[in-house]
Amino acid sequence: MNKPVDLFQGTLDVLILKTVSWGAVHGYGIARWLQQTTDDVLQIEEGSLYPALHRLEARGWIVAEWGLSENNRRAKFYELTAKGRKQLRVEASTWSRFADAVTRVLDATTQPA
Amino acid sequence: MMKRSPLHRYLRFWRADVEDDVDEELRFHLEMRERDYVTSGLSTNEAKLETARRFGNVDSVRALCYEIGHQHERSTRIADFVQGVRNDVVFAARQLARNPGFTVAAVVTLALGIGANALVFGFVNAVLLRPFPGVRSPDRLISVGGYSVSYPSYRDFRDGTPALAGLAAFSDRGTAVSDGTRTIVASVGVVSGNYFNILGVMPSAGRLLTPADDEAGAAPAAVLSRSFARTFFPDDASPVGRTIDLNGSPVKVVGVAASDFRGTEVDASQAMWISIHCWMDLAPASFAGLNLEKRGWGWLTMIGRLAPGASLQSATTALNASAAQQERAFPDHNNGFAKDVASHPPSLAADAAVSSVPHGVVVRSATVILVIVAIVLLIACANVSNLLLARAMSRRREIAVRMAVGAGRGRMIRQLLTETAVLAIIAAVVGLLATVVANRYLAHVSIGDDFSFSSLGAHVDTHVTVYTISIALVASMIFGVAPAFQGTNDGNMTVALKDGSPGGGRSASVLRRSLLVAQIALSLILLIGAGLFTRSLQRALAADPGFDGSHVATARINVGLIPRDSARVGAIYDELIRRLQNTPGVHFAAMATALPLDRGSDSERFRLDDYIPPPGPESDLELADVTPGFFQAFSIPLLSGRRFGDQDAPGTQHVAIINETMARQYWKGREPLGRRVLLGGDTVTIVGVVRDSKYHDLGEPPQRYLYRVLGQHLGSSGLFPQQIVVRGSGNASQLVPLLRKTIGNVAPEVPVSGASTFDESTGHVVFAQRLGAIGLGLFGLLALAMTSIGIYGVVGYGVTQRTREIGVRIALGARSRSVLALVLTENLSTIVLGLVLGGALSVLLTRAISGFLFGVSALDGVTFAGATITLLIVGLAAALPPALRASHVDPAVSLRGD
Repeated sequence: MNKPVDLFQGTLDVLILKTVSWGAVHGYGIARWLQQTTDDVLQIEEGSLYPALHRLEARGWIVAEWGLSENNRRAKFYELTAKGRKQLRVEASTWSRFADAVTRVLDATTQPA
Repeated sequence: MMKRSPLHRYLRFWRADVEDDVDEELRFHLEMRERDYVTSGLSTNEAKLETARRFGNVDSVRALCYEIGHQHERSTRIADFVQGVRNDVVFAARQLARNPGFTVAAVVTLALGIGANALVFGFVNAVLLRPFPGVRSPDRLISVGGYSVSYPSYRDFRDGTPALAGLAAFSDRGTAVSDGTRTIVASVGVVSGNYFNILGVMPSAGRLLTPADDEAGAAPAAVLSRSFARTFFPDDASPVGRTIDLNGSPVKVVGVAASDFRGTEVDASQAMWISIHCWMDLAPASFAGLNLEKRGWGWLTMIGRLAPGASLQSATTALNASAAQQERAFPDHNNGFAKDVASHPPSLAADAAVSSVPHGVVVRSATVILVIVAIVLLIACANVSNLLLARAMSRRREIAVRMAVGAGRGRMIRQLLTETAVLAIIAAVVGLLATVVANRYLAHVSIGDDFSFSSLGAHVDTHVTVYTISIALVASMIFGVAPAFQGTNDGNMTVALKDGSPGGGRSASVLRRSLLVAQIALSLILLIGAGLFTRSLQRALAADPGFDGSHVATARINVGLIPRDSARVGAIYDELIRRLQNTPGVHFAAMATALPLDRGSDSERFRLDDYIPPPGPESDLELADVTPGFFQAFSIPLLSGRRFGDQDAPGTQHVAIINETMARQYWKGREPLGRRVLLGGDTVTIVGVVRDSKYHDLGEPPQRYLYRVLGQHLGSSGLFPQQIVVRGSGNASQLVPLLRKTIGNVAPEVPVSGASTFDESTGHVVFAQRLGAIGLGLFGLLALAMTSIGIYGVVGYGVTQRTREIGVRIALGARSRSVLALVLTENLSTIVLGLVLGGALSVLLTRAISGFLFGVSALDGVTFAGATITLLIVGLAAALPPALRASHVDPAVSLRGD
């Protein structure tokens, strides 16, 4: 297993927003999807997901509803709101530009003048 | 991925508690993770450990989630509420704007009721609740009442009371104020140097007095009140630096106090303030020989400010200790002083504010007036309630539709109540504006010589505004609740949706009639109150006072304020009387130390040659010193003996005239003439008997009274204020300028005050009755007008509702006269019910005003009957137009229907 990568401030929010954008999903579902999608590189401490989810809910970016999970247990499902979708677009583009910039520096082949 | 149960939508209504939600969500996560680990091959134990490691600190996550959840819930709730109210208000405003006729009628009716309350509360506020305008934190001021102190004693208190941040002393002294061309008597506050500093008053111009002004030899300095500065120097924006004459000595104006500061006597506003030492230099002749350092001369009232953290209790203790110490140090002057001080503990100044008028009387009058205006408001509420009911009925369809599409009844009621609250607030604003205008008008009104509304200083401040908005909201609940519940009544709804015709059920009509009954009952109470006061006033004015004050004008002069000897004073008086006597149009001129119906008069300890009255009230005999023309000026009949004449000169035998009650009491069946009365150190011989007068108020029982010759007592009485009286044949008001001019010619430096007709100057005697008659009369008329509008509206509405039924009756042969009778009798029962209820309530309530009545019982039959009949007639008259309309219903039109 590779060494885990520390998350930047606010990164978890954008990851959650993206995960939720696929459709209603409960907290454990988000954790599992992030784990699978990143091959567990991020090694997110799963407990930290919940305060983040609830904060996003309070901001009105996601809404929560109680429903039944795949094994018929009561679970809290989160869904993206219109406001949240807009926020996701903003943060995703910010993140891409940031990552792009960092990548360009790291991939640079010419030494500074 | 996840499958959503059809139950999903319902489950969310199980709005579990925030914390349960968090617990359940976290539990779900942990169990799922554990299960996945077990599925992937870990042992149960390993799975548990791995899950915990992966999750982090469960407790801190849970705590954080709780906090976020609670916060979110709170802000959601507030936002929902604010949003709801905003929606309701916008909707309400739109509804009101759509019905301008209704809105204007309701607002005007309510504004009258609310305005009356705001106006009255403004006065109550000024007198009782906001006693010391212009003073910094008045709640820390203590007033020391019940005894007055000498200057050295004040000094001891001041320096020996550490619980106080400071202790000031003051005394109110009538002083002759002159700018060189005219002289008036003004109320001057004689104050210690620290007075303004302790009260925390700000100057509006120049400076205030300081301890340096209150030292022997300091330059005489005066601080004017803003209102005095404005009236005395109307052309001078800033009189600072000018010199005025006080009791004949020049004093420099060094400043003007903040505009609302009126001094520390609640019922008297002061014109200016000078220091104690300054006043000693210009004290009037009657104070000659008094020494500021004399401990026996108690003349100052104390007011102090509690030191930070000190309590009233600690101040009391310190004052008592100082008093005890003073009594020990100066036993000659302070015998019993400590006991006296201890029995009058200081009180917070705001509580003891009403000084000269007993606090109870003020509170009782204020309560009566507040109840009266509350009744007016209730009547207004009943009217608006009826308007709303009628409107709710015609809006039944709209309301029914909104409820059918899912608006709950509670939601609808909230919406309707919001509408009434918006109405009430608009009415409150209109009422407040009207109050501001009314206050401005009332400021120019004065009743009699002594009372002016402006001296009360009522104005619309935060207290009044908050009070007004509050009663408006309470009122909106009173008049809004019944129509809101009635209008959203479920039973009505199905009917409303079915036929859509406007109309009210049986319960609505019962409600309307109950409101009418209440209105009529309340109006009757006000009318009876107004009637009682009016009849009191009539009785009081018709009562025979034993003298004739018409064609009489009076003025008060105070020669004693200008230091002079008594011989010179006598010469001025003689000259004044002589000049007035010789003025065309004047029949008699006289002077007296007290007039009939005066507030007070002097009294002396007396005894007779053969009778020594027992100690107590009987041993003090009330008397007045008068000049010979006095009895003719007031047409007081002489019963036996002679009047005073020019022969009763200062050097001759001292003589007296007594009234018939005194003659009867001490010489029943014997001749009083020639008897001697020992008065103080003097002996007077009775030379005449005159009829009794009313000496202080019209309701008093006959009392003993004695007149002496003013010229024989110039050394004592002559230096005090004198009343000058002239009697002519024409209108008394024409004598007033004459009186003023003659005094000005004879003694321009002598201050004149209160020049007016005798009837004006004694207006205070019937003041309570007059104020009650006018005030209750106006409110009673207002109530009558509102009630007749209410009756007209309710009867008219009932007729409209029943047009079809009436049409049927007429089609079946009912005559228009019998329809008229039907409608009138139906409503008559409502009116009579209201009258009976109102009469019964009046019997209970009028007892509260019996103390203000004169010569009329609180249960006066004539008044009760008169008010009842008036209201009955007005009520029937208001019901007549709609009843007539009913009798002329055309069956062809009404049966064709809507």
